[in-house]
Amino acid sequence: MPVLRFEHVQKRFGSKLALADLSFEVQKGEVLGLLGPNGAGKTTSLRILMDIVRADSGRVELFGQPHRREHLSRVAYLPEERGLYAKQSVIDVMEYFGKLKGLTAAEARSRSRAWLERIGLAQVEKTQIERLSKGMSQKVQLAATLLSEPELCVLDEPFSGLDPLNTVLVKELISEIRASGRTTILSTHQMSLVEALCDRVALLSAGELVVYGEVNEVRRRFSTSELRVSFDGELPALPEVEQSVEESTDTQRWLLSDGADPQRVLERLVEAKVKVTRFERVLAPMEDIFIRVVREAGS
Amino acid sequence: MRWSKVRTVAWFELRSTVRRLGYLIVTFGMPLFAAMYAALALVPGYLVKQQEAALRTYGIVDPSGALGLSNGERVPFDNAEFVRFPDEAAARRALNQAREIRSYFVMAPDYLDSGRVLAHTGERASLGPWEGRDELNQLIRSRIVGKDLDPRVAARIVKPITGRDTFRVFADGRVQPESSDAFIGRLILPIGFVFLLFTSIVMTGSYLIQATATEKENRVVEVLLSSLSADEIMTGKLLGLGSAGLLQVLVWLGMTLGVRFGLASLVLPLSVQVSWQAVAIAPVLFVLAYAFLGSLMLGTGSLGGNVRESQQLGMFWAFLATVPLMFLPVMLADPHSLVAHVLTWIPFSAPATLVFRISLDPDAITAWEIAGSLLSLVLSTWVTVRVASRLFRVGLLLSGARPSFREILRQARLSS
Repeated sequence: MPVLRFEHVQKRFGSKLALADLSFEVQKGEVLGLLGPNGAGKTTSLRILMDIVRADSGRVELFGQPHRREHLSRVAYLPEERGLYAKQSVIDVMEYFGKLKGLTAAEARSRSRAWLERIGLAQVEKTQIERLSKGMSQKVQLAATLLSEPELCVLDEPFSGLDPLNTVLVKELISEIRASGRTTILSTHQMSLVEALCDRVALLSAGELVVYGEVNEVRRRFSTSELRVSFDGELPALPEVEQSVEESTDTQRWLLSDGADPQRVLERLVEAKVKVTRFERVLAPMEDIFIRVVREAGS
Repeated sequence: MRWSKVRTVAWFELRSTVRRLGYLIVTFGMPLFAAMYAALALVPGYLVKQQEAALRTYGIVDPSGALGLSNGERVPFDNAEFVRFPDEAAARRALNQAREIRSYFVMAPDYLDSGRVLAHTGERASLGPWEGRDELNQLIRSRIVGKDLDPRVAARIVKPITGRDTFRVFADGRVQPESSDAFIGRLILPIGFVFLLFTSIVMTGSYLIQATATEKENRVVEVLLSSLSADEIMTGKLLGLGSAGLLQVLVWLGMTLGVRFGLASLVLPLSVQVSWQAVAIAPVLFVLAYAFLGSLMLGTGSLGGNVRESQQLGMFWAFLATVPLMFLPVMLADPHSLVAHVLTWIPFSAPATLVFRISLDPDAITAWEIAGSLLSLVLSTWVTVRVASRLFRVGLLLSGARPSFREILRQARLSS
């Protein structure tokens, strides 16, 4: 049973079509990467999911049932344009957000302290938000979002404004959520993080879903016939290889001709008694796929 | 509506507002400032009273002999005293050189025919020459009629009314003594009611608008909307910030009452008589009026592009609460005039008008009129809260310039 299902969802703002017949689903325990250029409809989709704006038509199911506001107590949302109450202390804001998600005051306070410890900000518990650095505020907001241990975490650009160290921390948090069997929808422009964290991607362009599927499957789908091979020995003649590029002393990248079978290449190497330590298909990076798909959709 | 969430919002808003330095300064500093101002304003009054209490001496020159005073004779009247001078030259010397008198009056030689009296004041006098006229009138009356009449009749001619005892006659035949300032006392509740309502709405309105504008600016609003409905946020804010505003007004009221009872005999020697019906209905009307006007303020205020615009949009409603004050003279003349009846049924003016009418004449307003007015207010409040919550939701999600009326309608329709 999918945790979330969008079926033919459409949304218009004035004359602008923000979402056109959008359908996708998110399975329990997976991390879905919601991708797309600016204005593609990602934030609108998330706002529809969070009942902040209403769809003009279509159907949204949450936890296997038609979307109802009551379900949102099981969902946490980190919006793209975020902010906190500048004049309040860190612990007060976290406690408030926790209580809004149904925690008792005591639960919200103790969990806030644990989270502050986890993100390395225990010392700023009583500090006013306006005195925190941007990165610290980001982490506090993420912690406040995850405080209620939601079944579905919706994170819109959680890495923006973070330094590399904190990026690693947030990556770890997302991995922990996934390991605990909970589900995450991650909207980001950082494609390397999508490759590292996401199980599935939904790529939007101009309000339409242009790519949807498991990350590796999508990367395979968009990959050219390219191999990365590490070997030791004399190479035989390889008519399937159109072009080769040396990456290191023992590793080369081979571009195969159209219709060439990588299996046949491996057989030739084995027959020639070449010691092969690595033989893999080079998958297209998500960034290339993103650029290519968005350009094609635009044209 | 999930009341536990509403309570969470209300408590957060109340707690964060009352802990603000600005709130504390206004709450406790405003009465101190007002007290200092009032104290300053009392000083001139006190000085004038002191001057009035001191014996004032006036000269009188009477060539007509109508008063029958001998030269140098002194006649006291309350805090005034008249001294007879033989001629104007002697009076002038006493006025400008010896400064024994404040002014002098010269009665015309044909006074009994003409009634003419000429008042003369000194070169440096700051008061008008006719200061002491009341006492002079009494002096003349007592001297002219006192000679020939029974002293009791003469005393009544000089001072026809000596007391101001007042009684109130009720429809059931009861007669109750009423102090002379009881009428003013009866107005204290309705005027206090309108003042409290207006002040708490203005104060709370500014907190509401400020808080909402800040949340729009820092985008916390998206986090809130992902956890609560617009209705719940609005109700929570109304309750929380309304409590903050009410608390502020209560502090002011408490401090004012402290001063009033502490200095009762000195400052406000009023005997307040308030009808129990008015006291019973005032809190109900206050809550309804606050919900009605507060939700309108919040709904329209949230449509503003910035804090200033939001305040302009929101504050419009607060002034409507004071409309009955404009019609106060009409209602004082007749609390059951057509105007009073009409204002009773209009939700904006109903709360204050009802309190006015019940305070002025509790027996003449019918139960069905009170019930009907309350019902119309309850229904209007219900409709207003619904409409305002839609506007509030639209307003929260809009940013930048103020949207057109058409855009607001479209968004409100979508948010339903």
